[in-house]
Amino acid sequence: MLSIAKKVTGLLLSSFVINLWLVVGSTAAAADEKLDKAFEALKTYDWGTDRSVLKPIDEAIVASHKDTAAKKSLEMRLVAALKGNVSQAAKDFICRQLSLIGSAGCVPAVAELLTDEKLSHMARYALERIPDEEAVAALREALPKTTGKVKVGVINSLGVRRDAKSVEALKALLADQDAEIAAAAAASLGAIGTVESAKALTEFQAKAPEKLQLAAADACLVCAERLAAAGNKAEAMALYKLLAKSEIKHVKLAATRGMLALAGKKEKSEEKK
Amino acid sequence: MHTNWVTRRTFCQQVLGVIAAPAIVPATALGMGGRPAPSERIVMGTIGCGSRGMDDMQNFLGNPDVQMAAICDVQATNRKRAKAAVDKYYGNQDCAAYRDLRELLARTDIDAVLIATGDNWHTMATILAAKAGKDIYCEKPMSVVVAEGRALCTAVERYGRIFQCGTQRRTVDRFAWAVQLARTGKLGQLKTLYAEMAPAEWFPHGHHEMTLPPEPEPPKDVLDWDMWLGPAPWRPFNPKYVQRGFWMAHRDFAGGMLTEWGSHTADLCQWANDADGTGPVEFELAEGTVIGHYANGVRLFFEPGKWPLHVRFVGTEGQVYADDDGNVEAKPQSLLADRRFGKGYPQANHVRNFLDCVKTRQKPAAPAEGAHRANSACQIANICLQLRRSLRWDPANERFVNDPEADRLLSRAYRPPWSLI
Repeated sequence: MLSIAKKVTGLLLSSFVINLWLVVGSTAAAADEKLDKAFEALKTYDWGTDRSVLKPIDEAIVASHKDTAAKKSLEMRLVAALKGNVSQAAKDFICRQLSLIGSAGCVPAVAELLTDEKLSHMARYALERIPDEEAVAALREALPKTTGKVKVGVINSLGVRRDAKSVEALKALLADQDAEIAAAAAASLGAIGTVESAKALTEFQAKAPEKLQLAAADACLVCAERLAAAGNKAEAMALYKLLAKSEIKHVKLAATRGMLALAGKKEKSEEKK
Repeated sequence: MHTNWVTRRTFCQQVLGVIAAPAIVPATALGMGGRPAPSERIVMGTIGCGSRGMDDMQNFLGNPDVQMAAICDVQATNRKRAKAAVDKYYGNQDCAAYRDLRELLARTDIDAVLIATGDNWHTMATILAAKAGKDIYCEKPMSVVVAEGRALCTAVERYGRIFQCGTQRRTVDRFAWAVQLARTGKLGQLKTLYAEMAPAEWFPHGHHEMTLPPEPEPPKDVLDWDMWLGPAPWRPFNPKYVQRGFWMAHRDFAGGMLTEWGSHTADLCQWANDADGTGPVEFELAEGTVIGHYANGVRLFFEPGKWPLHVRFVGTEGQVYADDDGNVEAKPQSLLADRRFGKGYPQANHVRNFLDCVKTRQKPAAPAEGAHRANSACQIANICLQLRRSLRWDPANERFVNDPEADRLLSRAYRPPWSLI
C-alpha cells in the first residue's frame, strides 16, 4: 500500500513539475515574443509614437535585476539597435535604458554619440550613470573632439565623475575664449577637488575676467569643501583665505563660513538655529 | 545681517544725495503711508509667473516691506501678466521683465527671489540664486531626483542663504498643531504616519516618459522652448508639454503623484517623526503603495490620495487627522478640547516667516534640509515603483544599501550649459 501511495505521489509530483515547467516556459516564450516585437518597434519609433510599444523593454530591464546573463543580452540588443538606422527619439530611449543597465560593453557605441550635437547629452545621460572606468575614459577622450555647448556638457560630466585624470586638460580650458567652457572647466576642477585642481583654481581666481569671477569663486569654494572632506585642511584653508579677500560680499561670507566650519566653529547667527 | 542690504542702502543714499526728487513721487516710495523706507525693504524678483507664481507673488506684494522689482518667465503671456500685476500694485511702470533668469539674478539690487517655475527648474534656479547671493523662497517640490535636492541643500548652506520651501502647511496652524501632538508624545509612542499621494485621476498615464509629435516651435520671445526644458533632455516642441497636467506626470519634469502632494504630506510626517535630517531606512513595495520604515520603528504609508489633502499620525495612545478643508479629528477627543481651526492652506504666514528670516537670518519654518528629506522619501518611493521591488536606504550617505542599480536613479545628467556642480 505504502509503495503504491509513494508511486502515485511521485507521479502527481512529476506531473506538477512538468506542468509548471510548461507554464513557466510558455510564459517566458510569450515574454520573449513581446520583447522581440518591442525591439522591432524600436526601429520605427519616433517622437509621438505610442510609448507603450516599448514597454516590454522596460519590463525586461526591471526583470533582469540579479540576472547577469539577461542583463548582458539586453545590453547587447540595445547596442545593436543604437548602431542601426534609428531615429533620434529611439536613440534617446536606448540611452535611457543603457543608463540603467549599461556596462563597459556598451561604452564604445554610446561614446560615438558624444560628439554629436543632437545626441551628446543622452550619451552623457548613459555614461554618467555607468560606474565602469571605461565610461569616464570615453568622456575624457571626447573632450578634445568637442566644441561649444557639447564640450561644456562633457566637461560637466567629468566633474560629476570627479575625474582626477582630467585636471590638466581642464586646467588648459580655463583660458578658453568661450566663457561657458572656462566656467564649466572651473566648476569641474572644483568638483574634482584635488590639490592639483586647487592650484589651478588659485591661479585662475587671481586672473579671471570679471564675468568669470563668480564662477571662479564658486569653484574655489566647492574645491575647498572637497579638500576638507578628504582631510587636506591646509589646502582648503588656503582657498578660503584667498576668497575671504573677495570684493563680492556673499563670496566673502561663504569663505568666512568655510573657515569657521574648518575650525569647528559656527557663525553666531548659525547658533540661533 | 543681509549682505546686500548695506550695498543697497549705500546706493540709495548716494543716489538720493545727487539726484533731486522727481516732481511726482508716491508717498509709499518715500517710506510714508505705512511702508518702510526703500532702504529697509527687501527687494525681490519672481522667477516663474504661471498661476502658482502669480498666487505666491500676490502674497509677497501684500507685505509692505517687500519691493517686487522684477519678474521672469520664459513665456511672454506670463511675463506680461506678472509685470502688469506688479506695476498696477505700485502704480508705476518700474517692474523689469526678463526671459532669462540669469539676467534677473545678475542684478545686485535684488536681495531675494521667489521661484515658482515648473518642478524641473526648481533646483537649478535655486542654486543659481544662491551663487548670486540671493535668499530664496522656492515652490515645492524642490527637485526631481535625489542628487538635485542634496546639491540644493549644499549650495544654500555654502552661501549662508535663507531658503524657504513652499511647503506652507508647516505654518498652517492645524497641521503644525497635529505635528506638535506627535512630537511632544501626546499620542504616546508614534507608530504609523499616513502621507497622501496626489489623486490618481490627475495622472491617467501614471509617472511616464511619453513623447509627443513635433509641432512648430514658437519664437523665443513668445515661448523660449530651450529655456523651458532647462536641464531636461531635449525633444521637439509640442504645446502639451507646457501644460501643468502633462509635465507634472512626466519623469523628466516632475515626480508625479508622489512628490506633487507627498512633498507636503510626507514633509509633515517627517516633521512629526522628528526626521527632518534623515528618512526611512527601508522602502517596502506593498499592494498599490510603498511603506517607509524608519530606524525608530515608525512606519510611513504613502496612501492613494483624494481631496482634501490630509495627514494622519497614529501613536500607542492616540491619533490625529488634519486636512485642507479645516477638519481636525483627534483620539482621544480631549486632545482637541475646544480648539477651532480655519480652512484652506494659505501661504501668507509662510511668506511672512520667510521675510522675517531674511531680516533676522534665523532658520525658516521649511528649510532646505527638511524639505529635501521629505521630497527624497517620495523620490525613493518612486524608484521602488519603477524598479518594482523593495529597497533599503542609507539616509546618512543618501545611497541605497548594496544596490548600485538603484543608485543609478538618484541622479541624472544635465543638458548643457546647466550643471549641478
